[in-house]
Parts: sequence; structure tokens; C-alpha cells
Amino acid sequence: MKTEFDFFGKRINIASRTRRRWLLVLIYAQFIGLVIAWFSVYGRSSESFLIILAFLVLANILGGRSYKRGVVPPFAGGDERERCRRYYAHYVAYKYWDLTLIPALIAVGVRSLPFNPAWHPALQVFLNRLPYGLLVASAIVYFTLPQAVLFWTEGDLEHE
Amino acid sequence: MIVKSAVFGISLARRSTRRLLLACFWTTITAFAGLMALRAADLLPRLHKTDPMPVGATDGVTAALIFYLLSRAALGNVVDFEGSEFKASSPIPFLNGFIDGFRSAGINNTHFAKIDERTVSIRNLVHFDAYRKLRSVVLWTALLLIFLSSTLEQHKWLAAPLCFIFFLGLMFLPQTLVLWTEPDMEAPE
Repeated sequence: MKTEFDFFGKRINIASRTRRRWLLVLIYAQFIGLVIAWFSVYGRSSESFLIILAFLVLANILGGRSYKRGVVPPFAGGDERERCRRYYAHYVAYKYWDLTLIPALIAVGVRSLPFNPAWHPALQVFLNRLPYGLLVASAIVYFTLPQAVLFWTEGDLEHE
Repeated sequence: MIVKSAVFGISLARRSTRRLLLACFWTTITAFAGLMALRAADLLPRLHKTDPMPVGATDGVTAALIFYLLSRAALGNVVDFEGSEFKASSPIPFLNGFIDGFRSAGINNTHFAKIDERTVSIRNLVHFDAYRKLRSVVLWTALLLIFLSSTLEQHKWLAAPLCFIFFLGLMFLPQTLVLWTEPDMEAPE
């Protein structure tokens, strides 16, 4: 796990767990922003492409998987302890990832009910888009949750 | 990892039998998702002329029932991943089994001792594997949703089977991997 985070040339110390958790909260706030942005540009492919690009940049900062420059080391390699922690993080992540799909299922059920014509058109559009928005959010959680679990649970590190 | 040696009188000792059972399980899940899509696209006759819901409560209840029965029949053979003992003390056995499924845990009416180190290590490894196997599926689904979003509102049929497959189907992936990969059991002496 890296103890420094390079933010446009400025090195930020993230050796302590508290700091890492703050960074993670900030990254997830950006992810929430991306999902909201996708909601508002729904149907426009060029903006959607920019959203994917922004997601890839954030995922690269977080690391894990095959990202070599992120704060979490790539998933290939590592010693015995790292492998054990990685497998455990995936177990925890998988368990909670299932649950992120429950809101999408509920949204599908709500959308299939006949809408009352008196409802505001914006609300009807929102309910129509909600299941897909929640599925996209769930995909983001899928790609980032194991790294987040590792990043969140690692103890304080010694700053090099 | 496998706590039951037979289900409905079918022995689970042989890996080939377990794999056949899994194939049936996944075929049922896929077929139900396909039916859901057809119903939502109005390509199947509705159960009742005044039925206002193409996909909704009816499908939800059916899916929950199928999920409950299949989880007991096919996948309740893997050790409880949490090593929990709460089932033995619960006063509502039926609800217990249902909650088990939602916890991605195995269902067994006998006892749940604390799981040993080997089981923990296999459990964590199969979740890591399951996660990796899903990578391309999730990626392509997300890309499809994002790039086709302009027409998604006209394709209401897509959301229900996607949610169903991802939620109910993938909940069983780690257990499937365990049942699929564990070698043949030794015959009891």
C-alpha cells in the first residue's frame, strides 16, 4: 500500500488510516457525482464517453486490479499476507455487492407500476431512468469495492 | 466445504453429478430471466386481461419462490460462509432458510460449527475467482447501458432480467464454484 498520494505533483501523506479513509470518501463522492451526471446526460453518447473517462481516471488513482500507479497495489503478485488480505477483501466486497442490486430490483418493480398522469413529468422521467442508473452505480461499486475494502481496513503505515 | 452428501436422494459424492445439478440450476435461472424479458416486452400473453403489471409483484414473488426452492435443493450443500449458528436457535425455520439465501450462506438443518482455516481460505479464494470471472460481464453490461441509454426508455423489458440475473444468479456464483471444483468425495468406510 502506498503511503503517499501524488496529486498533480504535490505529494500528500496517506500513511495514517484516517487520511486514507478521507481520501476514499472523496473518491466515492466523485463516483456519486459521475452517476448523477450520467442521469442528467442520459442518452448523449459523447458526454457518456467523458463520464467513462472520468471514471477510469478515478479508478486509476484508487488502483488495484491491473492499475500499477494507484494507491492500492495491483492484484497480481504480492506476498502471502497481501494475497490473504486481497482474497478476504473480495469475499467482503462480493457479499455487499449483492446487496447494491436490491435498490435496482425495487426500482424495476416501481417502474412497472402504471404511473399516475397527475405526477410531475420530471418524476416520471426520473422513475424511468432509475433502474439503469442504479445498475450503473452497482457496476462502479463492483469495480472499486475490493480496493476500497483493502484501503479502508489497512492499519496505520510508517511513512517512508 | 460440502456439508451434505445427498439432495433429494441424489448423491453429491461425484463431481459430475454436482456439475449436472448446477447446469440444471443455471438453466432454470436463465430461462426464467428470458421469460421475464418476453413478458415485459409483451410477447407472452398476460395472466389476466386486467393485469396492469408486465413485470412487478407477480414476477417478484415467483422469482423469490424459485430462488428459495433452488437454493435449498441445489446450493444448500456448501458450508455456511460465515460459520454462523443463528439458524439452530431461530424459532421460524422457513424464514430462516429464506434469510440464509439472502446472506449467500449455505442451508443446512444440522449444525453450524465455526469454520476452519482451510474453509476460510477456500471461501475467500472462490469469492476472488467469482469476482474476476464477472469482470467482462459487468464491463460489457455497463457499457451497453451507457451507450444505448438513448433508447433504453423504449426497452423496458431489459431492466428486469438484468437485475434478476445479476442479483439472484450471481448470488450463487461462489457456491457454484465450490460445488463445481471440489473433487469427488471418498466413499464412507
